[in-house]
Order: sequence, then C-alpha cells, then structure tokens
Amino acid sequence: MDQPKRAQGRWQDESRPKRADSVVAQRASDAVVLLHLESGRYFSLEGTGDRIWQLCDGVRTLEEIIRAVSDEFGAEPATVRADMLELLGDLEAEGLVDDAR
Amino acid sequence: MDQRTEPETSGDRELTRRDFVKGAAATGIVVAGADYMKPTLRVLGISRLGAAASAPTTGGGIPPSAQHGCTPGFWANNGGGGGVSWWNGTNDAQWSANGGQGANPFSHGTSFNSFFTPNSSLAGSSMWDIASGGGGSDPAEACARQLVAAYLNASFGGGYPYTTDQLRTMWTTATGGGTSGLRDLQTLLDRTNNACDGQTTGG
Repeated sequence: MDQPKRAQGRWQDESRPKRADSVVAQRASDAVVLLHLESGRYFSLEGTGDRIWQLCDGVRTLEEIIRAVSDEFGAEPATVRADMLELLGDLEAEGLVDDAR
Repeated sequence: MDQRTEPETSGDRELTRRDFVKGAAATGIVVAGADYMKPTLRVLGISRLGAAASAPTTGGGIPPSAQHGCTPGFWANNGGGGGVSWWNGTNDAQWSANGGQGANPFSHGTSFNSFFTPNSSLAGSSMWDIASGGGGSDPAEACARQLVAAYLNASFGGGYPYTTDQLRTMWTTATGGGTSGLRDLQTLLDRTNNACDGQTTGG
C-alpha cells in the first residue's frame, strides 16, 4: 500500500483549513472514508481524524481547531498541534484540504 | 423560578473537558469518554473511474472475488453468469467452493430492510431485486445496489477496503442523510467496487 504524499509545512495558527469541494466523505464505524473525485484515490481518516475533518470548515482557524480537539479529548495542545500539522500536510498533498484564508 | 444552570467557570474562564479530566485524575477518578487518538490518513486504493490514466495502482482493495468481479454486474447480472449462483441460497455451497470465507451473509431472497437499516424506498425489496435492478433514478435504490455488491465483496474475503461493520455504518449514516448522503455513498462504493474489479463486468 502506498503512503499518502506529504506537503511541506505552511500551516499557521491563523490558517483556515477547508475540506476540498472535490472530496466525498463518508463516515464508517471507526473512520471517515474520503474519495477524491478527480484523482480517484480513496483514503481512510482514522483516530481523531473524524472530528478534525468536521472542524475543517474554512471558518475555524487552525488554532481554534487545536483548542477544540484538545478540550474535547482531554489531550495536550502541543500533541494535538504536532499531529494536526502532520495530518494537514498529508491532506493538503492529496488535495483533500485547502487553506481558506 | 429560573432553573437555568450557569456554565461552570474557573475565574472568568469556562472549564473544558481537559480541565475536568485533569482535576478528576488528581483525585484518583478516571473519567470515561472518547480518548484522543493520533489522526492519520491512510491510502486505501485508487479507482480506475475518474483517475488519471497514468496514476499508479496500489496493491490494496483486492478481495479474492476481484479475479472475477466486484460490481453489482458481477454479483447480479440477469444473464446468470459471474457470481450470481454463489449466493442464491443460504449457506450456499458455491460461495465457499469459489473461495468465499465462511458463509454468504445473505441470499437472493433476503429482505434488504431486514438486514440493513430500513429505507422506505426499499420496502419489500429483496437483495436480488436491488442488486439486479440496474440502480434507476431513486437515490436509495442506486446506493443500495452498490452496497449489496460491496457487502458481498467485504464478506467474501479479506482485502476489500471496508469491513462489513463499516459498510453497515456507512449505509445507516447515508440513509439518514437524505439524497445527498445516498448519492455520496453510491459514488464512493461505485468507485470502490470498480477499483477492485478484476474484469470489466460493468457497474
């Protein structure tokens, strides 16, 4: 199985991650399944990714998303931030999110 | 008397779940709830439909039935070929004879609404009615057709990208989400079924 592409980090606290229009998302029992309609590639977003995907609405800033996830799951903000940056790099490289800033 | 409850605060800051969990932990109390799990993105596969011609294929998403077909056209073509006879009876001998694991999850005559979360558009329809019906314009019927094939694929053997539990949840979510939810799931399963299809049996 190949690995997701990974973009270089450009995400900042004021970034506003937004789900791409060309993506179909479907919640499964323990993950969200994503299909990029143009590339034909489909993915599984696991762990806390389900909640993060919901929060990537192009309105909330990255900082707000980190705070929300940290509060909801009782996780350290620094951990959430590191994981978020890694995830957003993967999502962006696959054309699944943009920065709506 | 006004019974409204004011938010619990610490100073002028609203307490968060994290604060509460930390406070509880300090007193030896374990608070149950959703645990934080690192979010990860995993590539499941690539559909030949809509994908760039030069896009690389992956090794994933190939159940044993992919040698023959994974689409509704394989499982329920009206010509009677393909995998039609692998699931026409309960505990069908041809299911296992062709490499299927365990027993087929349902048979041609099983009521769709008795097996999956019911949808009023599918009342009275059997799995065969739906899988062989051509989809049509009704979003529930079209989506259910792909779902039946997907469920057979997932049941047949390891390697299909989604488990049967995931498919059940997807359907329940989609059927509760109206037309757009059903259309999205139909698109997703159509692509997935075609991606794992070993032959072009038609969708």
